[in-house]
Amino acid sequence: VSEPLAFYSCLDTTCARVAPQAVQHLVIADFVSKLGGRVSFYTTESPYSGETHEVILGKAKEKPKVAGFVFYRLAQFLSAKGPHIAALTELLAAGYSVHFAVEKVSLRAQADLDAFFPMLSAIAHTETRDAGRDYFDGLLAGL
Amino acid sequence: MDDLKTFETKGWEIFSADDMKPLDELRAAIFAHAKTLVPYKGEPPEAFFDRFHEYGLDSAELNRVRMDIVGFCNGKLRTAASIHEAFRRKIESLLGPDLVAQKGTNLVIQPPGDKDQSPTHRDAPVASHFEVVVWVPLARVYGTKSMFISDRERTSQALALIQDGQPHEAFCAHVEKQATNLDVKYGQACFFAGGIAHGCPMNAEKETRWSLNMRYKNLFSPYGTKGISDYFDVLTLSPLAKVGFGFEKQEYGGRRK
Repeated sequence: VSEPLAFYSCLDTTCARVAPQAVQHLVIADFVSKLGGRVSFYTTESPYSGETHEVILGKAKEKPKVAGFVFYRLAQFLSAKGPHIAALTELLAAGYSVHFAVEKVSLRAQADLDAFFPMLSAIAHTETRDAGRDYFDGLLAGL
Repeated sequence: MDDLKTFETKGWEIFSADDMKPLDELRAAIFAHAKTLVPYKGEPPEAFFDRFHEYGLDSAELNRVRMDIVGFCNGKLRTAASIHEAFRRKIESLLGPDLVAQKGTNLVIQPPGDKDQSPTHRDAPVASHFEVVVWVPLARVYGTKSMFISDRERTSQALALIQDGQPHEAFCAHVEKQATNLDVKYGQACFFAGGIAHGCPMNAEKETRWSLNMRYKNLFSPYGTKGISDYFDVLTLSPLAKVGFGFEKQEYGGRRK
């Protein structure tokens, strides 16, 4: 019997009030089990490294023997500056797959990221825009 | 029927497929899989779907069959793409070319007398007001074998009741009093806006309803409470969007293709 694939998980501390860490662990564990794997280690970014992903990129540089990194949700790679493509590209280039448990999205190669980019970019645009809703007042005025 | 102006007036309309081939292939695949799940008696597709209750499944067995078929649709078929290909012109007339589609397939199997019905409800504003629901029967539906739907005006009146402090029951009663039971043939689909009130009555006909429902929206239109990428996949992109995303990827620090 072959060993299940091992993954590092990375929780999202910015949404812990609505999705406590215990819940995030369950969601990630369920997702990883469907990949045929198990979580071998978990970590989080610090409040200061959420946009730079220094913790997880530092882990990748240690060349751990894992198949990939599983994040709780895509929002961990989005900010007002747009999607954090460079960090995703770096993880994939290091030979690791990247996964998002809430969205059940798996990126295994640069081609997957290229194909997924429109969704990622659209989320960055619409979430920033819809949060304020000011644009919507402008639309209503035109009706 | 087949009138976008009516869709605007009522908030829903029945449209005929522009191309039957993708719909026929989708239905044939669902039929081929479904008949492996019961002691199949050799009926043609329409009769198989209509008389499915004659297989005598209880509610738990029926749900197991339904979930098996949903898994098959999600894993082996391109349900959202097939429905889009069949109704492409109507979907793109409403939403444009930059489309996202629901990831999972919703399949309803409603035998006569089934008490587990979908109550009167509106998909939006929990879902986005800017997504369209495409409701596709796999065999003709009519009367209580079908779903009922309200229109913009009636839905708005019912919504006003809630806004005036009346209970949800008043909303439902107002909708159900003048709702339309859809008569939709195989090869047609009912398109409705997320904010339109609708539901399913108890099926008092002698046939089982099989229907798919699939949601589409423009990639850039406002989203409801569902996360974008946990519920939708990108289905089609315009040439302009492809150019734009190409530049954006580079500007955000990605690699050039």
